[in-house]
Amino acid sequence: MNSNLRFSLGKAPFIRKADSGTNTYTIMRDFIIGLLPLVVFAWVKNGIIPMINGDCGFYEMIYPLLFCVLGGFFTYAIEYIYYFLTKEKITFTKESLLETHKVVMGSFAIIPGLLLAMIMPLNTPIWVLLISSIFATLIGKLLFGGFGCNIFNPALVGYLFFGVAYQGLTSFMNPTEIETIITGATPLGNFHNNILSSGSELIAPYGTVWDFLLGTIPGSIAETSAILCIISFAWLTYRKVINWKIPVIYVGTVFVLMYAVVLFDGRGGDLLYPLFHVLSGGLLFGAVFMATEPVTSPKTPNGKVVYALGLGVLTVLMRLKSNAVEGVATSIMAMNIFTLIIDRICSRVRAQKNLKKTLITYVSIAVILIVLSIYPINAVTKTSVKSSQNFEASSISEVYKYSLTIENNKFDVFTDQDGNISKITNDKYSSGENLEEVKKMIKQNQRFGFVSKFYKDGENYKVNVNYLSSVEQNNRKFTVYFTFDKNYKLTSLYVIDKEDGGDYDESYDMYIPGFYEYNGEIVEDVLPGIIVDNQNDLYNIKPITGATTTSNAFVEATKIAVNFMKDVKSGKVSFDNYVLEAK
Amino acid sequence: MKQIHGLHISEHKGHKELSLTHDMVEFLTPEFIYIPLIEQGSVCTPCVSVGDKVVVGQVVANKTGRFSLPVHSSVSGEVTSIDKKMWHAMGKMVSCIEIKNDYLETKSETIQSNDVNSLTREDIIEIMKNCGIVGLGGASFPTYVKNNVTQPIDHLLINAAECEPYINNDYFILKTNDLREKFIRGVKYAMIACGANDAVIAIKKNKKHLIEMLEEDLKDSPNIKLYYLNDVYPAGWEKYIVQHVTKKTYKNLPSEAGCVVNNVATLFSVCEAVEMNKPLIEKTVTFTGKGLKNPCVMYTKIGARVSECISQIKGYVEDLDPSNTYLIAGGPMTGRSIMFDTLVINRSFGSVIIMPKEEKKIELNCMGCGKCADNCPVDLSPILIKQAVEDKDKKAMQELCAFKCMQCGLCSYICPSKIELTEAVGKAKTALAAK
Repeated sequence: MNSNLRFSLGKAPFIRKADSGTNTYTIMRDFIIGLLPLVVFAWVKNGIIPMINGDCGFYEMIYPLLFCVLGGFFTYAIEYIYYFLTKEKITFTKESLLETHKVVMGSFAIIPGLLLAMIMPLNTPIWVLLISSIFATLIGKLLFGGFGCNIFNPALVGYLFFGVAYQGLTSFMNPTEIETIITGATPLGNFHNNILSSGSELIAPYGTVWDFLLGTIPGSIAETSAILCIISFAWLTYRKVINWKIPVIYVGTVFVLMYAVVLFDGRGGDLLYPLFHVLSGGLLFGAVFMATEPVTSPKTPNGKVVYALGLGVLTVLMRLKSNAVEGVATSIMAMNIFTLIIDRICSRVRAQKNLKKTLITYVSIAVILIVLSIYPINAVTKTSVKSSQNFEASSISEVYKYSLTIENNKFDVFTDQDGNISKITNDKYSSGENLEEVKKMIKQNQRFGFVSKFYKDGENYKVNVNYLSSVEQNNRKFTVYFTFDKNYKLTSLYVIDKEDGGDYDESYDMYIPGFYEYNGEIVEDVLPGIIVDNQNDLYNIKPITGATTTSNAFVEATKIAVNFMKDVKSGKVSFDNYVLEAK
Repeated sequence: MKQIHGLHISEHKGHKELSLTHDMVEFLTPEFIYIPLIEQGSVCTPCVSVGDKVVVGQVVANKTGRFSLPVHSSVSGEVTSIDKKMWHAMGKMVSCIEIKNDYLETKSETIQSNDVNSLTREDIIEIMKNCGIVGLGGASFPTYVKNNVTQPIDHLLINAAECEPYINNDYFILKTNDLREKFIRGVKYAMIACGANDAVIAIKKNKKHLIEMLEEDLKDSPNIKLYYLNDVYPAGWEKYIVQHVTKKTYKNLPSEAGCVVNNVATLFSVCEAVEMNKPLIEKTVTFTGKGLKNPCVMYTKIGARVSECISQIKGYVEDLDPSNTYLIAGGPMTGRSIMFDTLVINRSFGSVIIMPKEEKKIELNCMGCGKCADNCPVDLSPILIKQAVEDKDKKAMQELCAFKCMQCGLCSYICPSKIELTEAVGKAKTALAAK
């Protein structure tokens, strides 16, 4: 009866999910599986299709795929070297090498490199990827103690390093896009030219919403396809790799806040505007693959909600009020910092179930988030009212008149050529803080233009306008040559850029194709054509895409010439009393 | 109010059916019985001495502490020791009264049938106390205390969830016709004892054949209703059942929500006690797991040794490798692994599982997925408590409410890196209690 069986001892519970189902290895494997469709898509979009179109050769075709694979390989190799060298005894036996391999696989070294490669712009040189990978792995991960100990998402650490050090080296265009898309910017880069464009205006240059969903728009290598991101999200959620809360709340917050922007701007029906923001700039990719990174996001379920709300608010803040094109990576890095404190607060609130404490905590978090989101929305929509000023300059007397509208007060400001204010028609704005505000706005919008030459060429009148676009164009000077017929109608114009080394040839014919809004309609046209066609109605020409600042300057120069010809027609100016010469 | 969700345990498919493949085995003739002199953490003082002859149902010890309770002998025979050290399901050796069975089954005079119809509430509570009925769900809380509440009670809830994998005691009682009839009579006595107007049997949805049988039997008892629970763990937790049936929650005791919760096996013993005055000396125990030849539910004497019981059912499988097998006293989620099979069956002992280790070695840092916090039924954050334990930060443990843990084991179960979270939270709980 007295058997001598000695059973083994263990710790309850004796059933573990990790033994037969989800464990950390399968989670990481499924995560990589979730990324693969995007890698393949990146290859097809940036490699295979351009090759089919005949825009690139074999090396360029294979490059996107090679780039992603190398990203994973680099981080693996770096960690391998690190763990191999930091071993107690460095031996080159097979066991020793295999053992290090196991350690590195247990550290899931491939993932940061793969993610990093996928969010980099196309045409990034491989050595830049290598340096960014080293930075991501060493500074972002190993410095903190390896897997599970890092505070920041290692891939984003590498990406931000790349952004600071090497951004200028790259472009986001694949060979086909360089051929077909005119503006030379990613959707978000384009958005920064005019924050309050309507959704359709933002989407138009790149096709339709479908192009955004499919991902056939310029952007980082593998983050453009919204549909694939959503499919991967479904797969990863089904496999319980990621928690649905962070992506859904993050994207939802961005959508709602961006809708608030158009709502406060009085365009309540423009759902395309928030949709544009959700579909562009790698937001979906970041929400699904970066923000959910378990090590750097909160562990508590309520903490995840706070974290995701914070991400949404920060992304909106970055997009509306920052010059940086990218808002997602910076927001995630910023919220990574708060992960520990969010977990600390939320775990206690959740466990203690103290109603008063819970209310106070959640209300304070809500207040912080609301203030942070009201600020950019308010600032952007208010600026739009202020910037609706009209610019008008009298061409003869060198007195420049600016018609401003501030807080619904319409008034005129007169300045000399250097921008010194000589008269303000509204007393309220002629002193104190208001005056400073006016000065600031004048300075921002200051453009100098004057007729430098006026002569008759046969039956036609020739007018040359020297124009200095002060702020946005880094004091670019150019001269526009106008020709008017005997009926004082504008017939042609061309420009010579006085700046050396600029984008323009010596004689540039102002052939700037793009989308222009005219009388509320969006038309595709070239600039001289639309100027000549609408010379009596120049105030209604609003460049939307293309080199908008430059186009604006040309329109302003045209206004000066047309106004000058009105004076000629009415007899105010004649060849006798025209004395101004180019300075 | 946030509802407790629980988690469906999909591992070890067919675990419940394992012990139902064989018929119930009755084993009422152990050679020796051992009555542990410790119950619910408090010591029992023996009231017999070595050499004494005892009969079935004779009081051999009395539990001291807050709730006193008699402990009965389950066989007739001679007391051979009152300080025999035996393995206990708690995982340590405890003193036991050893009684040698004389196989005569001489019954105590107190075991005689009662006139059921004349019993008042006080009578039934007194019977529960004298017969030493305790909750057989695992906590062995004296049933007479549970039912003797001052608050008005709306519902008597019957916990038929048995959410721990492998265990089948309650299902077996419900499945077998005469046992089920006794159980239903037990429900009626318990309703008198706690003064409830109606009773609700909370049973898992997926036990369709049991539900059919119960519905058939309860046709004439309109005040006993059924409530269907999801097939999740821990659906058999008192708070879970009270919250799902009454939509109310409570802080310490279910009576705050107007409920008394008893489980099936307890009510079965209540019936036997009320009708026959039979003390709690026999009970169903599930013997199951892949390490046994004939997994089954056994009706056996309290105090029998597990090794003896297992040899009654043809023993272990031939190729058993003990160093790679667990002997688990209790369920696989909350039970304890015991090194020797000579442990004794005490009153709250529910099951023995002989389970081969099927473990993967995973030694990874926490990756912070938060599944432990997500699935915690009491909304704790086990991984943060573990960090506090590692830092020996008592203040943090207190703030994180480690004391609320009920050791259900879900956090360790779900952890993809197999971190021993339940153990860590248990340590925190002990540290806080020691303060």
